[in-house]
Amino acid sequence: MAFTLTRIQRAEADTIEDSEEYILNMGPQHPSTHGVLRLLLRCDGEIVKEIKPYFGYLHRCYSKVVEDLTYVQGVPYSDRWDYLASMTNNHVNCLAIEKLAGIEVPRRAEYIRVIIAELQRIASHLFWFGTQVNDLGGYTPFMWAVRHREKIVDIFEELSGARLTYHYMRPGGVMRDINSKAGKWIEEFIKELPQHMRNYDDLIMGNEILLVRMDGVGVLTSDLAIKYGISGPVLRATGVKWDLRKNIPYSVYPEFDFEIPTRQKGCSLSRWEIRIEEIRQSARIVAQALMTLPAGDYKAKVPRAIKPPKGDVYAAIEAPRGELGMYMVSDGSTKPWRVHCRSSCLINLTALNEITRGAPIADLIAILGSIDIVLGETDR
Amino acid sequence: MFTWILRESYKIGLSPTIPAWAHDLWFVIMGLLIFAVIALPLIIAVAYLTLWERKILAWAHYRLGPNRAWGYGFLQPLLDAVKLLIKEDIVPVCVDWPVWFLAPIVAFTPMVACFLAIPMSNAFVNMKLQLPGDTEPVMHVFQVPMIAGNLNIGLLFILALSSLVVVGIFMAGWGSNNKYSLFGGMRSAAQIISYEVPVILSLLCVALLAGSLSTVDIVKAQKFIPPGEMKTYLELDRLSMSGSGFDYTKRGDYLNLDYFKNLEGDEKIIAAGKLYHRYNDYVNTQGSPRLPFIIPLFIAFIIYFIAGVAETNRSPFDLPEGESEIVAGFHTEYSGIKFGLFFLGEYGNMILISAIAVTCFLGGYLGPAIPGMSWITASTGEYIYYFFWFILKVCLLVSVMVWFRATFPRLRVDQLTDFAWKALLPISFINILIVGYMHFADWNFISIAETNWILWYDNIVRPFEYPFLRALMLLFFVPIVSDYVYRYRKVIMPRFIYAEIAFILAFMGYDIFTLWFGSKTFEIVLRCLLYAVALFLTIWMWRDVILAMRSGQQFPNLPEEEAMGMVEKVKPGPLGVQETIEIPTTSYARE
Amino acid sequence: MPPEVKNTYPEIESCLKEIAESFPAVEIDRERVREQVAVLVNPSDLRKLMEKLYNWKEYPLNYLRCITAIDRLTHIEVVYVLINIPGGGGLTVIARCPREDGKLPSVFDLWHTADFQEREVFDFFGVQFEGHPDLRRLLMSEEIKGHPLLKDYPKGGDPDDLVTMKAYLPDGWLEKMQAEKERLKQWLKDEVEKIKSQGTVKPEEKKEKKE
Repeated sequence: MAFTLTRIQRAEADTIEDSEEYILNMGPQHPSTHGVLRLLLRCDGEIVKEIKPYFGYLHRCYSKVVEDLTYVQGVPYSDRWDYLASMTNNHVNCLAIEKLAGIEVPRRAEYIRVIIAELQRIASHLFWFGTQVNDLGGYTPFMWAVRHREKIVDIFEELSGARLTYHYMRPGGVMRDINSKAGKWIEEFIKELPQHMRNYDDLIMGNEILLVRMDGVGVLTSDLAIKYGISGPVLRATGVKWDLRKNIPYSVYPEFDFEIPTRQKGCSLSRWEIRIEEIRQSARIVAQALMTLPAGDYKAKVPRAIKPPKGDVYAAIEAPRGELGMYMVSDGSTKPWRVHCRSSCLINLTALNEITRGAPIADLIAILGSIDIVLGETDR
Repeated sequence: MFTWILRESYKIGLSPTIPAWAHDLWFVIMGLLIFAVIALPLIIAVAYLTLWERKILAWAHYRLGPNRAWGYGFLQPLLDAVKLLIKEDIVPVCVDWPVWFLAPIVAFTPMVACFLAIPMSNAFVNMKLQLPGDTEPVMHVFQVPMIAGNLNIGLLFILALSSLVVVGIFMAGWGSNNKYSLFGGMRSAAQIISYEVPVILSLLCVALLAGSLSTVDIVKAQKFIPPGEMKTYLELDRLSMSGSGFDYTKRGDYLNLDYFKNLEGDEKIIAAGKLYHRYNDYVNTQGSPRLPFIIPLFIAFIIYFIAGVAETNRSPFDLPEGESEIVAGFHTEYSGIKFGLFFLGEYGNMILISAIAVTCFLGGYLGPAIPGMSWITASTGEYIYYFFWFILKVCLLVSVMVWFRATFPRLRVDQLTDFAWKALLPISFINILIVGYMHFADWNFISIAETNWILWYDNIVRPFEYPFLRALMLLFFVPIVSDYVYRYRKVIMPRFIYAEIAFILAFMGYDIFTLWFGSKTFEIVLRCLLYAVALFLTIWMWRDVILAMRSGQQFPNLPEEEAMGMVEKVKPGPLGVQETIEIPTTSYARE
Repeated sequence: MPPEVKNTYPEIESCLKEIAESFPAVEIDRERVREQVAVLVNPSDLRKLMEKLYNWKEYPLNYLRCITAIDRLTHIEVVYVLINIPGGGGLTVIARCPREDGKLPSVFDLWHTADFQEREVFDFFGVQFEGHPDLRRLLMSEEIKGHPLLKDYPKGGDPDDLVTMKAYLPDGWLEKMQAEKERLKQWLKDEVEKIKSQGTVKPEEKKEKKE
C-alpha cells in the first residue's frame, strides 16, 4: 500500500504502517554504483528516506600534483578524470591553456577536435547505455553497445595509440593528423550507426519492462535543476534548453548544424531519450565536419614551456556528462599556480538526495544510472 | 532385455515365499533405485543446463560461450563443480547456524523430490507370466510409466513440494545476518508466494480437463486416439492396470498397497471394486479433448509459464538475486558447494517448471506416431521414442526461459507483485470460468445455444455469485483506492460492513424465497436483478472516489490530519507534486 | 577563426555601476579573468552582493557554475563563477578572506550547488562557510586536521595527518616530510614578508622547485 502514495508523501511520512527505519550502506564496492561511490541510505522498508553520499575513494590529488608540473605536463592527468570520455577532458584542459596563453588554434585542428569530441560523446553515451541496461538486468544490450563502442576505440587507438586515456589533444592542436585509415573507419562507423540505433530502439524503447522502470522515476523540475547547478542531459531533460556548444560556443561549433534535444518531463526516461538523440546529433556533426575538413596545420607552433601572462581563466565545454570546467590560475611562470576541475558528475550528484527521496531502492539504481556518473571525475 | 528386467523384478515381488522383511526391503531398494535413477541424471542435466544457458546467452551477445573445455565446452560443468567443491567454505560470524546451514538443503531437496511424480515415458509391456491364480503362463499386459511413483495426487504432490523452496530461500535470507540477504530473502518470499496462486489456478484447469490429479493420467488424457480405436485402447488400459485375473489380495503387486489382506468377504469385494473403478474410470463424464492441453488452455499455459518463471527467480523476475542492486541477494554469504546447491536448485527448478508445463500442457512424453508404430501400444522401442520426445520438449521450454533471460531487463519488486495480483490473478479467474463452462458444454463451440442454460447456471454460476461480487469490490477497487481507504478508514469500514450485511441478508432472503416458490426461470431473472442492485450499491459507495479520480483532484485531508498539521502544502503541478516555475526566455537566448 | 566570446551582457555596465555605488569596498577588475569581469569583495559584503546578483531583475544570475579557491599566501580568494540561464552572460565574484580561520557566508540557500563545492573549499583550504547545512570534508578523510591545497602543506603528505599504518610507509618518509613541512613553513613566512614589503611578487621567485 505504501507504493500508492506519491513519492513526496512517502518521503515525509513518519512511518508507514508501524515500521522502523534502518541504515543501509551501499558501500564503495558495489556492482551498480559505477565506481567507488559510497551511499548511506536511511530506509524504511524498501523506501529510501535520505541519502548521504561519501566521496573520496578515488581522489588522486590532481590539483596539488599539477601545481608542480608545467602546463603541457599536466594535460595527461586530465585524461584520468572521466576516463570513459577522455578526449573531452583533454579538450577542456587545452582550451584553458590556450585561453590563458593566447594561443590560436589552426582551423584544421579545431575541426579534428570537433570530430574527435563528438565521436567521444557517442562512445561515452553507448557505454552509459550499456551499463544502465545492465544494471536493470538486460545483459544483451550491454554487450552490443560495448561491441559498437569498440569501433570508436579502435579509431582512437589508430590516432593516439591508446585505448582509454588518449592524451590526444595538446595545447595548440592535436597530437597527430587524421590519416586516411582513421578517416575511412570514421566514415564507415557513421554510415553504420543508424542501423545499430534502430536495433537499440527496437530492443529497448518498445520494451514495456524498461519503460515501466524508467518512466516517471526520478523526476527533477527545471527550477530545482538550475538551483542545484545541474548540467548536461540531466538539465535538458527538465526542459531547459542549455547546451554549452550552442549557448556559450567554443571551438568551431557555430559552423555546424545540429539540434539540442530537450524533454519536459524530467524523469529517467527523458534523460535516456535525450542521450540516444544526442548520439544521432553527434553523428550528424561528425558527418558535416568530415565533409568540410579544411587543409592546414594540425597543431599550432607552441613553445616547449608555455609561460602565460598572469591571470585566471574559466573554460568549460559540454562533456558527455555535463559541463566540465577548468579554472586555471597563472602567475607568469611555467607552472600553474592553481588548477581546479569543475566536475559535472560531482555537481550532478548534488540533486541525488532530492530526486530519490521516497523512491524504492530499485529505483535508486535506475536513477543513479540515468544521472551517469564516473567516479574519476567526481573525485578527481 | 528390458522386459526381462521387468519380468524378473515382478517375479521377485510376486513371489509369496519371501518373508515379510525381505518384501519390505525390496520395496525400499526399488524406491532408492528409482530415486537414484531419477536424481543422478537430473543433477547431470542441471549441470549441463548451466553450460547450455551460457552458450545461448553468449550467442545472443554475439560471442561464443565456454569453448575451451573439451571442444565446445562440454567439460565446463564438471570443472565448475570441481571448482565449487574445492573452494573454501566461509562461515560468517554471527550467523544463525542451523538455519543458515540447512537453507541450501531445504531449497534444493524438494525440487528433486518433485521429479518423482513426473512421467517421462510410458509403455505397454506384454509378458508371458504365470501369476498366482493362473493355471498356466498367460500373456499379461502391464503399463510401465517411467515415473517413480504413480501417485493419484501427483500434481498436488508437486505443487506442495515446490512451495517448500521458498522456505529455504527465506532461511538463507534470515540466517545470513546480512541486511542485503534479508532483503533478498523477503523479496523472494513475497514474489514466490504471489506467483503460487496463478500457477495453481492454471493447473486447476488442467486437472479439470484431465479429470485426475495423477500426472500419468494427465498425459494420457492428452493422447490422441483415432476414433475407431477408443474401445480397444480403453480395454487395454483396463487390462494393463489390473492384469487379467489379478488378485489384489496377493502380496507383491508393486502398484498396490496390500491393505486388502485384512478385509473379509463383502468388504474385500467392495474395496477391490473401488480400486478397480479408480483404475478404470479413465474417461470422465465430459470427455477430455484428447489434444495437448495447450490448445484449449493456451491462456492457462501462458499464465503458468510466466508464473513459473517467476517462481524460479529467473529473469525478468530475478530481483531477489538482483546482481546490480543487492549484490546477489539471499545467497551472498554462501560459498563453495553451498552456493552450488542454490545454483543447482535454481536451474533444477527451471527444468522442473518446464517438465510440469510439458506434462500438463504439451502432452508430456507423447509424440507423433511414426508409420509402423502402433497407435495404441508401445514397447521398448517406443519407450525410448517417447522419452526422447519428453527430453526434446523440456529442452525447448528451458531454452525459452534462457531466451527470456537474454532479452528482458528486471522488473522492480512492487511491479512484480502488482503483475501477479492485478494482472495474472484476474485473468486466471476469468480463464477458469471460461474453461469450466466450455468443459461443461463438451467443448462444443458451435452448439452453445443448445446447452441446458439452467443446468449450466445451477452448476457453474451459482456458487460464484456471492464470492464474485465480493471479489469485484475487493479486487478492482481496493488496490486502486487503498490510499483513500487508509485515509477514510474510519468512514469506509462501517459502510463496507453495512454493504456486506446487506449482501448476506439479500442472498439468504432470496434463497428462502426461491425455496418457497421454486420457479427456475423466474429465479434466474431475479438473481440477475440482484446482481445489478449489488453492482449499483458498489458503485454508489465508491462514487465520489471515481469522480475524484476522473477530475484529477487530490485526496482531501481528514479533519484530524489538518488539526495535526499533516496537510499537504505543495499543490500539484504539471510534473507532479513539485512546483514548477517558467523560465523567462530573454532575447539573449542563443538558439 | 572561432568567434570572440566575451561573457558579458548589455546590462552588465549598469549592474556594475550599481554595485560600485552600493558597496564602496568592492573592486572591479576587468583584466584579471580572461573574457570575464571580476568583482573583488570582502567577506562582510559578500552575502548582500550575492543576493543582489541573484535577484537582479533584468538579468538574474541564477546559475552558479563553479566555486574555487586560490591560496594567495597572504589571504585566500574564493571564486564564484556566476551566469544566467538562458542568457549565458555573467560575472565572477572573488571574495578575499584571511588564511587562518577564514569565515565566509554560505550561499547554499541561493544556489544549492554550493553544497558540495563549499565543502570542497573547506576541505582543501580551511575556509568555513557560515550557514552551510552540513559543512564537513568532501574528499579527504574526516580524521585529518590539515587542509591540503594550502601552499605550506607538504606535497608528499603531512606526517601529522597520517591515516594509514606506519608500517606501510616507505623508509625515512616521516623524517623527510617533517623536514619538508618545516621548510615550507619557513618559505611561506619569507614569501609573505616579501609581498608585504614589495607590494607585488616577482614571478621568478614565486615558487621554489620542490623535489
